[in-house]
Amino acid sequence: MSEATEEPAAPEIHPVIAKLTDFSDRVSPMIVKELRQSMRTRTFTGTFLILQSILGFGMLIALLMEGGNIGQLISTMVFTLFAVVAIILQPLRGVTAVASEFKDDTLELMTLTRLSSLRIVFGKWASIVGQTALMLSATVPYLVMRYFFGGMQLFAELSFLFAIFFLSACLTGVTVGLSCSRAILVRALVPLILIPAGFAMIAGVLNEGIEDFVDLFNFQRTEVNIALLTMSVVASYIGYYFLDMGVSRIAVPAENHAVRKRLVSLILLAVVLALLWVNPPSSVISVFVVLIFAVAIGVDVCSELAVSVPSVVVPFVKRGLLGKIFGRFFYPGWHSGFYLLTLLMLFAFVVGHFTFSEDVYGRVVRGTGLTKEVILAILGTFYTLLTPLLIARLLIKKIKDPFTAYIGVLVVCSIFLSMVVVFSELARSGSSRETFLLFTSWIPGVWMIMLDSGSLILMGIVTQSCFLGIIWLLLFLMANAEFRKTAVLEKMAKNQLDREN
Amino acid sequence: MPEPAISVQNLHRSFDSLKAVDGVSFDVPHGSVCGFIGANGAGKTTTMRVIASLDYPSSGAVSVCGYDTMNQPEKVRRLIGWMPDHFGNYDNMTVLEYLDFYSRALGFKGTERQLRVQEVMEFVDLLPLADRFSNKLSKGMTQRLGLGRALLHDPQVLIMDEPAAGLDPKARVELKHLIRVLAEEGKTIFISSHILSELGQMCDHLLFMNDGKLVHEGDAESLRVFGAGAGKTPYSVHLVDPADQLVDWVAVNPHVEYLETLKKGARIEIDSTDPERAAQVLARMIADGLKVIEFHREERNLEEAFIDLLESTNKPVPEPLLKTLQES
Repeated sequence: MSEATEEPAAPEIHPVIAKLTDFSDRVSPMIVKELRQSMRTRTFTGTFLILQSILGFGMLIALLMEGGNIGQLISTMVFTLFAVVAIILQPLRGVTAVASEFKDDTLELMTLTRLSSLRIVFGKWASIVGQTALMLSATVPYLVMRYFFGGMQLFAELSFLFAIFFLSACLTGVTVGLSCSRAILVRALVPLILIPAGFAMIAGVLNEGIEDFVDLFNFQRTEVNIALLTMSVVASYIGYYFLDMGVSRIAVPAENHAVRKRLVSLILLAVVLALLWVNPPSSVISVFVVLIFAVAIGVDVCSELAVSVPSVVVPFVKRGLLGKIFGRFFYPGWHSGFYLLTLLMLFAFVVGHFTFSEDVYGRVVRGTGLTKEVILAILGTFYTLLTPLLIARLLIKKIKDPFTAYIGVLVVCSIFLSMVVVFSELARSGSSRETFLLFTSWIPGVWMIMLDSGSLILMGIVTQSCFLGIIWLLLFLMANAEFRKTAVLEKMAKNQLDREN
Repeated sequence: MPEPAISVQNLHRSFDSLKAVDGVSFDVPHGSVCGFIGANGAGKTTTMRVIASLDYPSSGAVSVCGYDTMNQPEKVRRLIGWMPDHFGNYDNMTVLEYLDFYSRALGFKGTERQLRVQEVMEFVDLLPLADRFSNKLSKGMTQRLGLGRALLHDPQVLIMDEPAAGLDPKARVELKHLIRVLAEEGKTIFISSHILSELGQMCDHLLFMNDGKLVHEGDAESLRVFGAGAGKTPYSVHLVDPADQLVDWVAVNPHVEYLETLKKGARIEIDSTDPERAAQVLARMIADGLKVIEFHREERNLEEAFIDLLESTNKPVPEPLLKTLQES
């Protein structure tokens, strides 16, 4: 008798299910979902077809035309069309990326799966960037064909095209991150800013002449290369930061995204400063970079809800006193964010002091780059970041979403600032303008106008120091009150750890 | 003692000054079907969302199979299947793609994923609609799709918020059948509805919520008995002969009271809720020569019983609750 044992037959897969083999298991589920959906949308197919039609038609006309500038004309057409699609249209699609999931009540269903909020948000971003890449790959052949018209730096022009794609990816990161906000106000601001800014940028490049920008991508001058690399790091950082900010907006309170975001920011800041240290243009640029990072970190941390779950505090408490001190700057929440911003402000002063400046003979020397302008810029930036935080904290009971509260106050401040700009221009006489600016210097951002007129810088430093001092003190008291609540969580976490041991 | 499938201890959830849930405590044992009843705004959905780790308590503790929903949400999420009262479907995505996406998101790969999707589609009978766009389904089909999605990872605990709301009678019966099958498979089912009669038939255990508080806990029987004439039970008795005989019989027998005459008999009341006593009364009637052709306990309507229960708390029954109960 045969010894062979019969294995149970594997269940057969229904043909309807078996035919769904469009994506491998290795592709992220979010990308699979987004690509399946978006490839069927009219926005994508419409944009793709229009882009192809215009480029094809343009090439045909160029072939029929005669003249020396045809090649240049084709390049301009390719860059302009791709820039409109990549810098304006594709990032705009990001505005509804996560917001549509709120609207359809589907985000919660996704968060119940193994998809973390990080994978959801980054998946949305990757899908839009993937579609932009498809458009890029469909555009590149036109640029290659243009090579046959002569007078072309193929490598530089291709690099420029990829730079536009890279910028698109960063901008899409910003818009997808902002789409995680439930506030319509925040999402409505995106097209209002992106469309005019995008067109202005494209028009600016066209006005200057695309050739000048293409020349930069020959990568032949070290200082240009370092500048491009620095800008790439800063742009990637901004794109990443907005995405991660979006992640923490949709995450459950038990997830801690603050440590990663803040550490990545500090590491990238160190990288950028190191790049600038190798080839320092001036202290102003270095401090400016610190301030850009501070603004990105500030907008996020100032609109974070304070930690409310003991499990988030456990990893910090486990590391004893050192962990708790680390937590003072890295716990999720505006209170630790306020401490981190204070630290960054001090750091900006240190960077300003140690970077390059010009001596009385106009020679570049290391150190004492802390000029009056730099001091005013540092004080003004932190005053502009912290004032909305204070107002938002006072309004928080009325406006539930801290991000909306913070951005809302920033928008109101910007409106006040624009009014000040207009009125200060109207007040033509020097003394009345100065008096006007002195009385309005409490409005965040007015320091930028003062920075522009040399005689007001000292006055600006005095007023911004006073206002910042008051705001800082009030926030310090409020942050400490919030830390007392965190201390209760720390105690609960300690008890939990003791029980486990 | 084994951990309950769901444990809610002194749960409070406030939204500013509104106390949506106010000190609710209960346990749901493994393998039981527990109904959660209350009007719109009673706090059912908030409680269920906290259990599903989608919201967090203002205070109190909630756990699923021993895992805290606040501190260990990822563990809780692997154990539960959540079916909300309303969920949107995606544009430009077929039923099959929808379930395929969720099975990928739940970590299934290759053939296992295909088999899982197939099993679920067969269970909810959606295979014939595999290629239809999910946002073009009827309400009943959408609920099936939602149930299928919730079952993809074979969860131990299924939380269903008003799954029958808005369904036509046929779809409701089908959904009830699917829930019954799942209950037979040993899943713990926590289901909310305002249709008491439906839950009464389906559930081992019922929780009644009003105004953020748990007002009663027990099975359907316990609610029917609640406040029903303080230990008395009404019965309808039909005879071959005229009802007068029965009226005379009641007058000389203890533990029984006459209530009213019916067309072919009378309504009587026995001074006990014990079915044993009812059996004794019936035996005595037959022994005394009454030709009884029908003898049955009058079931109190669950909706009426619930309203009585709420009135016993000395609070007026809220208008929306009365409306939903009347509708049901």
